[in-house]
Amino acid sequence: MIGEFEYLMLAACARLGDQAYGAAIRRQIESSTGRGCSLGALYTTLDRLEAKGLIRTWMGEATPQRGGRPKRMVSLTAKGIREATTFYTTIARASRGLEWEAKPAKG
Amino acid sequence: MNRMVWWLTEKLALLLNPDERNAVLGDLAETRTLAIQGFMELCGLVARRQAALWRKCVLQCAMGIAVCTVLCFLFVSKIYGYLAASLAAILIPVLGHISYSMPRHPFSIDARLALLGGLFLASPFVLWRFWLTASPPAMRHKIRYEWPFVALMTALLFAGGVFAFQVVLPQLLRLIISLSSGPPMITINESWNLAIATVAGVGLLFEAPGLCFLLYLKLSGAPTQSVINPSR
Repeated sequence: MIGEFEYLMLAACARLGDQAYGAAIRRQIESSTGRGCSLGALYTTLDRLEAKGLIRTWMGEATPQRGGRPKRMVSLTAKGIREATTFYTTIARASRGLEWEAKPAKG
Repeated sequence: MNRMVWWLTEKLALLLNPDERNAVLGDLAETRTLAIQGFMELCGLVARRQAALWRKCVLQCAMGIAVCTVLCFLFVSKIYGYLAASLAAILIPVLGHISYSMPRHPFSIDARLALLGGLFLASPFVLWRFWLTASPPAMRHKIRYEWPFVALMTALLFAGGVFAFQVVLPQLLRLIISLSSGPPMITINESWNLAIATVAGVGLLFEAPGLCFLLYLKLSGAPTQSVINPSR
């Protein structure tokens, strides 16, 4: 099964659709989790997901606001969608009926 | 200041592959990251990439050195005999005699000599693996660069070792002994410690030009295929 950060990345890719690339995925993860996402974590995880066959990446077009440098575009593969679905259903099943409110310790 | 940090960032990014370099620098430009923050972010990515790149090389080199160390340990008495004669020729005229101070010293000297021998014996393999990991991709599998690099660097390492043992070590010992105020009581263990550290240190120092050249190639932008092979 994939890890938490890998799932977050797949979810960001799914949400961004054909606009999924490095900087956009990073913004999406930061806004949805409220946590920072480092370049190192982002690009090494992208490589890992690609090696597992869960995403496909290619170099996109260069734009002036990027200093004329191309984007690394990302798209989910069918296997990636299956893995993300499995992760989500597993977490949802494991969490069913649980309440995570803080309870004072007895005694 | 900002300009200098961006320049450094771009130089550091040369350690990434061209596609990733463009994507990362583009991301930093698009998100208008502060120069120093961008530099730190890139340091993290480069560190991860370099760690992944070197892991296999370091493991293989360690295994190569271990095998060569075992081989040298089998012949350590011959290595010891050859080097001890030279060391004794330097020390005995000054000290009169040299002795062990602990029963375990003969074994520890043998082990360290075997390790030093292993380092030298494994050096062609280690340098070849180093070349395959650190050289610019366009030059990597070219025999006309690969073999001269390994041969030259190995020759330099051995030249450094011989220079250390024949020239640096005698001078260093004489200098150290002349600086002491009382009668010297140098044991064999201490003499060998100094000899091994000097030989390894000077040997590595002789490697520095080649290593700096490789680093320069990396940081100045790896030569492209058209530079390496203009006819293609």
